[in-house]
Amino acid sequence: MNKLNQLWLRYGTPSNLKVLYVLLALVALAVAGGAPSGGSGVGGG
Amino acid sequence: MILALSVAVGFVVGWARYRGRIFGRIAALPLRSTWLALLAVALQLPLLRAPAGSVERIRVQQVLFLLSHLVLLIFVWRNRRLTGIQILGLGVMCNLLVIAVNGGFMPIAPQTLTRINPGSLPSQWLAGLYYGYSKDIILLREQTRFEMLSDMWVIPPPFPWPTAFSLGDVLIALGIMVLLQGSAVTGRS
Repeated sequence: MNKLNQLWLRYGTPSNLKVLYVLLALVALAVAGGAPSGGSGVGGG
Repeated sequence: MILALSVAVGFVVGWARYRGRIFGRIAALPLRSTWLALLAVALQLPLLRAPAGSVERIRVQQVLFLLSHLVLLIFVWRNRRLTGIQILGLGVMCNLLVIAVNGGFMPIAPQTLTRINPGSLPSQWLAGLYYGYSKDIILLREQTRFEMLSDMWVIPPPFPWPTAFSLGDVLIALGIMVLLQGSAVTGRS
């Protein structure tokens, strides 16, 4: 837990969090806009 | 999965080009109303979690799915100055067109399903049924309108995630990769 806290203090800067948010939004765009389909009944994304 | 992979590929390419500066470039992307992308996914989750079967059972999920495209188009419009978004938007519209003219789902043919589900036969995939955990409906090729825009392209095994995808999906992946190389704005909003 202490290590996690240290990682958060070191990397959880506003800039890094913004990068994470943008990447999350791009993944969301990819999933929402696309319609690929996976095999073995696992659907797509 | 496959389109989420395009984000990873775009990031790796950007890293190769810009190294540590890629983070600053991504943070500086002038994206507006990014929450709309998250809302669009949220609206699609009920459909993506539905198992295979009759489309009658998933009418509510289908309505939410179609509504999510309106949300996506608003997002694309709000960010239309970005080159990557223009390409992505074209992909979204290609997918939306083929979905709209084929009963509100992305069509996929039994022959395509046998390619991404090795060992299965076309006769196992009954036309008219929802494929399950996807946005797809199983339709015969002759029943499919705008087949060229449907999920007819395949990455087969031994690729670890055998996938059928559409031309729109390719454009969406390309648009995201372009976006991740840093912002490129065309014209004025």
